[in-house]
Amino acid sequence: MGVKERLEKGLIKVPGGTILIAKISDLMAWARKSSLWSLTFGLSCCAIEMMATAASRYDLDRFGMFFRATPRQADVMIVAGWVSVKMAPFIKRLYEQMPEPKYVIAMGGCASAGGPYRDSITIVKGVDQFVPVDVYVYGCPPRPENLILGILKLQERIREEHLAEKNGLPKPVREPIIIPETGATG
Amino acid sequence: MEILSQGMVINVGPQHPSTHGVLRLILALDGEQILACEPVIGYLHRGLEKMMERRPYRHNIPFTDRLDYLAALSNNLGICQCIERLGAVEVPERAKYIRVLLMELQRIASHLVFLGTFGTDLGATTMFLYAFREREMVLDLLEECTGARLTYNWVRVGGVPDDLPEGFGQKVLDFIKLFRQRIDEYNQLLTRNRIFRSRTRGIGVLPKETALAYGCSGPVIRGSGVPYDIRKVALYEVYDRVEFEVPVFEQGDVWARYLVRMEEMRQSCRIIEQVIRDMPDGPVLTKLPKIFKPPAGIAYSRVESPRGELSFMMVSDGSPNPVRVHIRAPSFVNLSVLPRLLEGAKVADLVAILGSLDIVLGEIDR
Amino acid sequence: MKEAIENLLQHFGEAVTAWSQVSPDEVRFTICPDKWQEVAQYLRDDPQWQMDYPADLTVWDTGQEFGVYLRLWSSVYNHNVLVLTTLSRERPVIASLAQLYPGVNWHEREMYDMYGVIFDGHPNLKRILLPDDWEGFPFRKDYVAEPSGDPLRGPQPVN
Repeated sequence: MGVKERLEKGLIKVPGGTILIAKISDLMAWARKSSLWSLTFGLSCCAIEMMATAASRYDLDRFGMFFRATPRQADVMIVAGWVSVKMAPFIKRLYEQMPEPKYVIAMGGCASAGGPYRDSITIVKGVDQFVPVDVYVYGCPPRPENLILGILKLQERIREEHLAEKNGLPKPVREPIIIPETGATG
Repeated sequence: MEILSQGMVINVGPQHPSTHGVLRLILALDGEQILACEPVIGYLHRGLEKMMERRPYRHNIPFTDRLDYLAALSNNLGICQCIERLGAVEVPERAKYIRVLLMELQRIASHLVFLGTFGTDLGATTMFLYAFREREMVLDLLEECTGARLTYNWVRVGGVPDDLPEGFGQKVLDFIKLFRQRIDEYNQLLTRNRIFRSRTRGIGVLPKETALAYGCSGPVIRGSGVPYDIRKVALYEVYDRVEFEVPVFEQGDVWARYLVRMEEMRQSCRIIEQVIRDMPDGPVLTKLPKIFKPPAGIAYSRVESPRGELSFMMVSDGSPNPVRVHIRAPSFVNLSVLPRLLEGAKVADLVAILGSLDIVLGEIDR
Repeated sequence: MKEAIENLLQHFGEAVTAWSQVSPDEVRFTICPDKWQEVAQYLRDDPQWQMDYPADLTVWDTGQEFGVYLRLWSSVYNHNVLVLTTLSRERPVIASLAQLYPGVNWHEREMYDMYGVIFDGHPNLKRILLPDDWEGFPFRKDYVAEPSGDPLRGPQPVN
């Protein structure tokens, strides 16, 4: 049951108007998932597909997501492109500069596992070597629909997150979501 | 009154909204003026040229898609032409026409990305949405033909892998008719916009001799008055049989480079119409032996990619793998002239000048 | 073109070890490495050549020695020249053309970065593409590296 349905159950009509009774964690989860701001972090070819996803046809703004240049205002970092040894310290620093709660989407084969450059000496085999990843979106480059599916699944997960999880209480281990190249995970 | 000022060194870091990729600029400033600039590149270096030495010739074609990822077909054509010259492979006529058709569609797509990002850099975000709306149409056409949206891998040694789909020519002509009107829309948005003109005219002037001495190519050098276009100079594929003009402007500033690209899109429409009209029938791929061993020697090829002169050089010693593949990327050379362009410029013009060079870091770093 | 080639061969004599005219507008010269700068200057300044556009400069490793390749174009005559030479592995030093043609500045830096070829007279010969603290020259045929175990540091050379 979605958070909207849960909220609708809490609507009570009283003389003079309507009252909504809801849990704060539901409201916060709904607000957080509907307004994920992502860091403009396109490295290479996948960045062009990310731009295309944000542009006219596959609009990302309807999911509440638009790009902020500074990590201090970003919730999610979409690593789009291959990560080289020279660039890795910068990615790590940008990740650490993002305030909690933060998420990482590894877009494309290169950010997930090194991609076609597995025998290159300057490429890090996947951004998960030094940054925890929440969603892997495969493809070279992934279609905009795949990236949108990854974002929607991340939004589903955020919707179910509890405030307590993000307040220093023991966090459950999060399994990453994997979006294969040819369609939904079901 | 004398103002006491102190110079400072600031870093336009690898992550920046308008550096068109991971480029780092170290600027020495005196107030608003840039005294010196040092670009730091290499954040996307993969050692592709070394990786290509471990694979047979034709296995390297998919790597070239990822070099200049906004014009992937140009890179494919460059490497295939180089292998064809090494091995003296003939290309059928229909394949040449198909290659030119795809190259010009690719040129339109790449210049649309330039328009979109250039407008966004200067603050005209609407241009981004308009440009990508048309680009999606071009990508639809290319996807119907090649199967991919960005990394096509659709040129082979000896031609193209497969023929065009049914009715493709008519769809392309319909798109061209619509696109010509859209170019007029872009002119209304940007070219006739007073703010855009004052932000780009007289900014970042590149003199003709400097452009030649640095080896700049593409719209950068054609905006400085040198009519250097490989399509007219080397007349590869069927460019000797189509009529088109090469736009050249004399001013050498950001405005001139922008106008060159706008006009090139119109000329690409002309070329596409002629190619579809004149395309002959016939095979599209020359068959090659399974293990392809070109004779020993050195060969190079030049292609006019939307960014400039893209050149591949290969050294062969008769074995199935190349001894050396060298990629001369146009953005690499165009970026080396940036410190000259920025001397004395204001910080506020940095973004416009960098955007007008239209660089792609994938091919700079290889 | 024929006359220009004859003049150049007369001027440089034995420094040109081989030459061939591959097509009506392309000539290839193989020269000794010590005349590298003189040949490039001659090609740029001579009124019959006027090669004012440096298109490309690169190095390759045959296993025994390094080959150097320079490609020039003339905007006046529209002809191309390839200048080739070889360097020994023990002492890969050659004159820099960065003062003559500013466009080869970054190409020479990249070749130093990848092969360790020293360009004598280059104003700023340091690494350009690899990280500044990288050891070794990866494009050489005898470069062997193994993973260092730290994902943020690349493989380290073994020899």
